[in-house]
Amino acid sequence: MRSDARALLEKLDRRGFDYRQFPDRYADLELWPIFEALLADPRILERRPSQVELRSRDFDNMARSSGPSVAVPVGHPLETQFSSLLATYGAQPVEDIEALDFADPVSAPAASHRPERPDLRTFLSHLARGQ
Amino acid sequence: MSLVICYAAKGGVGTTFLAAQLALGAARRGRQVTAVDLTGQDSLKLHFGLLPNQSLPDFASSSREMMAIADVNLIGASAPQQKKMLRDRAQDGAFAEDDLHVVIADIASGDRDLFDALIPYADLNLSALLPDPASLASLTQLARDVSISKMKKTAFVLNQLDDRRKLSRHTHRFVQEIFGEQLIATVRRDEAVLEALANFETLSKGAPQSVVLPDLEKLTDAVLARCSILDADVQLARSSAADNLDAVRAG
Repeated sequence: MRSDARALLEKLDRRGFDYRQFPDRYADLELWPIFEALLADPRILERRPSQVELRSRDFDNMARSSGPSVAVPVGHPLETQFSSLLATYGAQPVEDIEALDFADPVSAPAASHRPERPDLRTFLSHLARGQ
Repeated sequence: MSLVICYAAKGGVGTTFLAAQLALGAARRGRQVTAVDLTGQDSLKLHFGLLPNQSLPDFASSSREMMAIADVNLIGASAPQQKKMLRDRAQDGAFAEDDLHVVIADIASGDRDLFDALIPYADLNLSALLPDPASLASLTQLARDVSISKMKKTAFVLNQLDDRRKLSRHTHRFVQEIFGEQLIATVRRDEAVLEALANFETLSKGAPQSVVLPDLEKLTDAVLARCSILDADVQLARSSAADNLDAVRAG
């Protein structure tokens, strides 16, 4: 028996009443718009990402951490051959070839012989000179 | 010393009432309690049976001027320099001492700056909610850097709950669902609360049969449990104080 019901019955000095507590008074719960607005507000509840978003995030993290990392020394034959291809994927040639453990100093050409890396400014200046 | 802040983003939700009842409940359980009225509305004292023309001592008052009612020390500290004194005490580590003293700070809903200054030193912020849309909407103002559901020091009490009203029932269920254990108590609606105030009586004296009283007992237990001030600690402190007294008498 609820304490307020017991207190009321004692106050009335009525001990012959049957007491019954009706079950599940919340069965008629409905989603009022104010509840909906609060549920959608990130200040109230931290939004939980959906399963699809979680999978997508996991995939991105995995690709970022274990993806192939290509460091190409400047002037290396590979750099001349594939510079345009690597540029497409954002790989940057390494400036200091000596700093690389796998660098072969014999095959590394002198800095003066390094081919000029094409960039937009150089390309435009070539156009301006009519070359 | 534990600091419990009573602050809600919206006024008129019963924060001062709950602060007063929490102070009285903690004192009944043997804690040394200080209740500080920081609201500037000077209404905390009414819940202790004081009259509107009676003023509370402030932090600068001497020990002889201190006012204790039902074992609760009452302090009025609404002036800016008084608030600064409380902030300074908090920064000096006054609330980090490990004893059974509980300080309950009643802060006005508009005084967000004071709340922000004290919350780092508090054990708990008790925030009252009413089962009405305006009170619910004000929840958005309580959050700052993280969502409310992640604010570990914030606990809610749903005040003036009335199961006969549909929106009240639904709000109770909704708040339970979204806040879980952060909703530490509910307090039912009872006109006897206002009637006791109108008679300048404490609720337990003016309306001993009020349905609100058992709800407030549960609230007090829940708050003290959150502050890790357990009955065992109080018993230990009491027996140690009694031993000291016996030793003094024997010596």
